[in-house]
Amino acid sequence: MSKRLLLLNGLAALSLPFFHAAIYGFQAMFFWTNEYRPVTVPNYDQWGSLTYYILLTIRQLAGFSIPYFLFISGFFVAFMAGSQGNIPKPLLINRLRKLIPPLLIWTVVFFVLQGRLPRSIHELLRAYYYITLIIQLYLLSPWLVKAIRGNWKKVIFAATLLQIGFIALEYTAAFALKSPILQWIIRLTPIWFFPSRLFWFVVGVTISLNLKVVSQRLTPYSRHIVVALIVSAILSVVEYDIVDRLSGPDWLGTDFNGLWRNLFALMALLYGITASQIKLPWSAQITEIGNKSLAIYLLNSLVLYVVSSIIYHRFPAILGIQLIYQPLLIISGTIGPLLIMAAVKKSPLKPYYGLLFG
Amino acid sequence: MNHIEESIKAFITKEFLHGDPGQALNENLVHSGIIDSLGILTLINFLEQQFNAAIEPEDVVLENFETIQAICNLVQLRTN
Repeated sequence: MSKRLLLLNGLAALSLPFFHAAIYGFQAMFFWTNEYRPVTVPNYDQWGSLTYYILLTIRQLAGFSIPYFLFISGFFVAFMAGSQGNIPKPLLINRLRKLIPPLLIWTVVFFVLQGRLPRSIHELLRAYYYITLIIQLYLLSPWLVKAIRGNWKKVIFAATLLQIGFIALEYTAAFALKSPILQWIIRLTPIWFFPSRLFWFVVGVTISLNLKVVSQRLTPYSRHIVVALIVSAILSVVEYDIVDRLSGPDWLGTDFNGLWRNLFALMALLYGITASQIKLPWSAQITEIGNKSLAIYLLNSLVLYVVSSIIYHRFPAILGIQLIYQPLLIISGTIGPLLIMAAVKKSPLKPYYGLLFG
Repeated sequence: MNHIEESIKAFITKEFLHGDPGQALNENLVHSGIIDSLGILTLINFLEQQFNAAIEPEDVVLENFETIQAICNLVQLRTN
């Protein structure tokens, strides 16, 4: 199982540059169109094209990475608690010590590169929201583990309801429902605030605490899980498309995830637990990349920002050719972080490697 | 046992300590933060590959991974 979970972690890490590249693809398609065609922006002429649907599919499928990383963290927290169910404070402090410095350093780099200050706390914490989330969840973990050990069914039920509530909020935002209470709830529950992704952490803790039972009970259904994985992947694209068409003339944007993308992420991690084996080309290399997932998370968006800025300013024609633009972004977003890490290891910064990359 | 212990030490030093073991190998590997969430999976994967140890879900508990000695005991148990 560890081999499969590591391979999936590698896929989750590789998904990050794909995910961000797709978002830059949409940016070029709708908001930078005037850089390569004589039109005003936003321009939705390419909405509904084959290229658009390819980008949308990549964006929907690659979005399983953050849920997966949260699941793995929850899995580890339950492991840290041991048979007594208590997480020693020094252990938690050690985890936080590894997470806080990279968060601070790369958030500063993120805004320095953009040459501006964050406009709000929300924007500041959103830049690396996964780390902000995981810090909160680690701090809450002594109580969470206790509650899940006490009655995991109740906790997972509550976490599921919460997750469904957040999906409902996405729907209300997509259809621009004007209720002041809904707007207030949306403002108070940003992506970096722990309730928004608590479900995945709780699933990780629960599965870790009940690993034997879960794997025994679910393994006979591994083929059904594969079917559910494929179906949920297709429906996640269909769901987005339907909501996009029904919600008005403007493009729906990248904040809408929907029910089926969440189910796809859930099926992906259940597949990791139950599949007898996962055969993929370059499995060893993908697994190796997974070991550097935190650094890839920290660096890929910066590399993509730099590459897309260069293309925007120097070679704007490429923005209109996604067949070239996407590979450039994906390759640089994958290889760039690995090169930066290798360079740090060979430079005088080597003693600070842990501070930089966790 | 010695061969197992040396292999595990070498692996942990290379993978988690960037080649510099210092005193870290004598500490509690989990409490000191040497082994993290991915680290535990990486280590289990190594034990399965290197020693053909059949690590079961019920083996994935803190007590089996806190020290080099505990890991060696687990490998011995699961390779016999």
